[in-house]
Amino acid sequence: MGSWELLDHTADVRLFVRGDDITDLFITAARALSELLIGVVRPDTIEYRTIRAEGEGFEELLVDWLREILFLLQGEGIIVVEHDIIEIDGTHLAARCGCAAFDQETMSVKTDIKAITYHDLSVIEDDRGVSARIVCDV
Amino acid sequence: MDIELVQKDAYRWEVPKTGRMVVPGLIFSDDVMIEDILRDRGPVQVANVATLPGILTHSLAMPDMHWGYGFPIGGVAAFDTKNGVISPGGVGYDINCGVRLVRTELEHTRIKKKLEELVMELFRAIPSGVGSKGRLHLTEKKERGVLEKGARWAVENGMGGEEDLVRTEDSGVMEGADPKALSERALSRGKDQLGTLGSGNHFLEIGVVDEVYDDRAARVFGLFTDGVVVQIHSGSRGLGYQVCDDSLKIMGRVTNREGIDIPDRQLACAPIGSEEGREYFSAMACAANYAWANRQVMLHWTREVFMRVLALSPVDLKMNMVYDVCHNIAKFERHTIDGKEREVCVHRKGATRSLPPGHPLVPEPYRDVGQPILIPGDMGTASYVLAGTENALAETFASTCHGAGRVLSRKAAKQAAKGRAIARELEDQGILVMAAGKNALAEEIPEAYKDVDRVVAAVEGAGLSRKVARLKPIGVIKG
Repeated sequence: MGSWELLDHTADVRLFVRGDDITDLFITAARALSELLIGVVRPDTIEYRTIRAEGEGFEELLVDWLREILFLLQGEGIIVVEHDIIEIDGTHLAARCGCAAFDQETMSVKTDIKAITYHDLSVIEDDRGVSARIVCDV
Repeated sequence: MDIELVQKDAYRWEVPKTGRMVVPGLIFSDDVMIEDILRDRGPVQVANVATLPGILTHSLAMPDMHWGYGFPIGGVAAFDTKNGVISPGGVGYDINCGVRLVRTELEHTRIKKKLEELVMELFRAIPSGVGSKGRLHLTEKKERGVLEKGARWAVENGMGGEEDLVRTEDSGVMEGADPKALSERALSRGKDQLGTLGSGNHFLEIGVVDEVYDDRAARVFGLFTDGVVVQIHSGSRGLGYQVCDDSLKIMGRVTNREGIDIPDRQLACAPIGSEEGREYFSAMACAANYAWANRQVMLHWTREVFMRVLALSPVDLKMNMVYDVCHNIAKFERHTIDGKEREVCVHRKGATRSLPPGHPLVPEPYRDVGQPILIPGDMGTASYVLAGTENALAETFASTCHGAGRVLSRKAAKQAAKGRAIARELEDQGILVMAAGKNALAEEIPEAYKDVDRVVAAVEGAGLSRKVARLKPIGVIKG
C-alpha cells in the first residue's frame, strides 16, 4: 500500500507519493489529493462514475488524473472518496470512483488547492516501487 | 544550474548570458533582498526564461520576485511577434489578478465609529473564501458579454459609469477576446463566480492615505492625507485557472511539435502567430475581461455599502476610481528597441505596467503625471501608490513590481501564528479584519511576506516608478 507526505515550500503544496507499482502510485496520489482537499470523509450516499485521463507518459497522465479529481470539486461540487483504477497504461487511465456531493454543512475545504502543475514533476521507478513528486498551486 | 550574478549597481544584478540563454537576465533588487532571491533560486528561473525563442533584450525580474511555475513571480519578458513565443507560464494561473483603488471625500475620523459596520456589511455583500459562489448567476449570453466586454459589461448592466472605465488599464477590456476559445469547463466555472473576491492573498481593504510624497500627483489622482480609500485585490477566479490549465496541456504538445527545447515543463509555449498561440491569447483576453468585470462588480457593491451605512449620496461620497492595474497578463505593446519602435508581446507575471507622463495610453486626466501604479501591501502592512517613469519604458518594457512576495510557506506561517490571536494583533494596530476561511489569517500574517517598503524603495531607486502616496489599512476582508 502506498504512502504520501507533504514537502514544505514557500508558495505551494508539494506532494511526495510512493506506491508499490504504478497503479498503487496513482491511487495513493488521488487519495492524497482528496484528503488534502477535504480530509477523510464518509458520505452517506456514494455514487460511482468512471473518470478518464490521458497524457503522453505517466507524468502527464498523473497530472491529468489529479486534475480530473480537482475539477470535480471545483467545477461540479463533487468529492471523490473511493479510487479504483481499472485500466492504466502510459497514455490512458480509466478509474471507477466513488463520488458524493460536497456538503457545505458537514464538510469544509481543508487546503485550497487551485491547480495541479507540471512544476518539478517526476514519476520514478526504483527498487522500492514507484514514487512521484507533484506540485499543487494554492 | 548555478548562477553567478554580476552586480551592475545598487539595484541591478545581471544574470550573464550563458549556455542556451538567448539574452542575459536582469534582476532588480537591493543588497538585502538579493540574498532571499538567491536562496529561493529565482535567478535559475530568470535564466530559463532567457532560453525561450524570440525573447528580447533581457529576461527581467522585479525586486519582489520569487520562485514560480516556469517564469518566476515578478518576471517580465518581451518577445518578438514574428519569431517569439507566448507562454501561459509567463502570465500565471490567475489571469489578470490585479488591484483596483478608489478614493472618497471622507476623512478617517468620519468613518471611525462606523468602521465595524462597514467591514461587516462588506463581508456580507461581497462573497469571499474558497470556492465562493457569487450573487450573480450568468446565463450563457451574459457570460459571453462579460468575456467580450470586460468591465464595460458591468457598466452596461448598471454597475458603474464610463468614468470608471477611463481610469482602468486598457479601459477594462482587452481586444481579441473570443469566448469560443474557452473550454466548457472554463465557461462552467465562470458562471457563478462573478463578483467574488476569492481566497489566499486576495482582499478588499478600507484604508487611509498615510503619507503623500508627491503633492501634485496625489492631487491629480484624487488622494489627500487621511483620506479614506478602498482597494480590491482579486482576479479571474476559477475561469482564469481553468484557461491556464487547459492551455498548458495544449502548449506542452505544441512545444514538442515545434522542437522548442524548454528547460522546464511550465515554460510550455507556442509561436505567437501559431493557431495555438492565437487561441491562448484569445482565451487569456477573455479571462482578463472576466477579472475586470469582477472588480467592477465588487466596486459597485462596495459603493452601495458605503452609501447605505454612512447615509451618503454618490455626490457626497465621491468613491471614484484612482486606477485598476493587472499584474498577470500578456499584451501586445509598442516599444523602442535599438532605436526602432516595434510591436512586441510583453509577459508580466506578478509585475505591473509603468507608463511615464505623456504616454498616449495613460488616461488623459493623468497624462501629465504618469500612470498610477498600485502596490498592495499584505494583510496589516502598508500599500503604495506610485507613478510611471520614462526609465521603466526604456529599460523594463514599462514594467515595475506588483507587491511583496512570500518568504514563509503556508505551513511555516501557520507555525509562526500558532498560539497567537492574529485578528487581535491586527486590531491592536488599528486594523479590523474579517476572514472567511479558518486558515486565512494564519497563512497571511505579515511576516510571511517580503518588506513592501523595501520593494518600493528598490523600484524607486532603480528609476522604475516614483512614490506618490502610502496607504495604511484600517479594515480588511479576506477570503
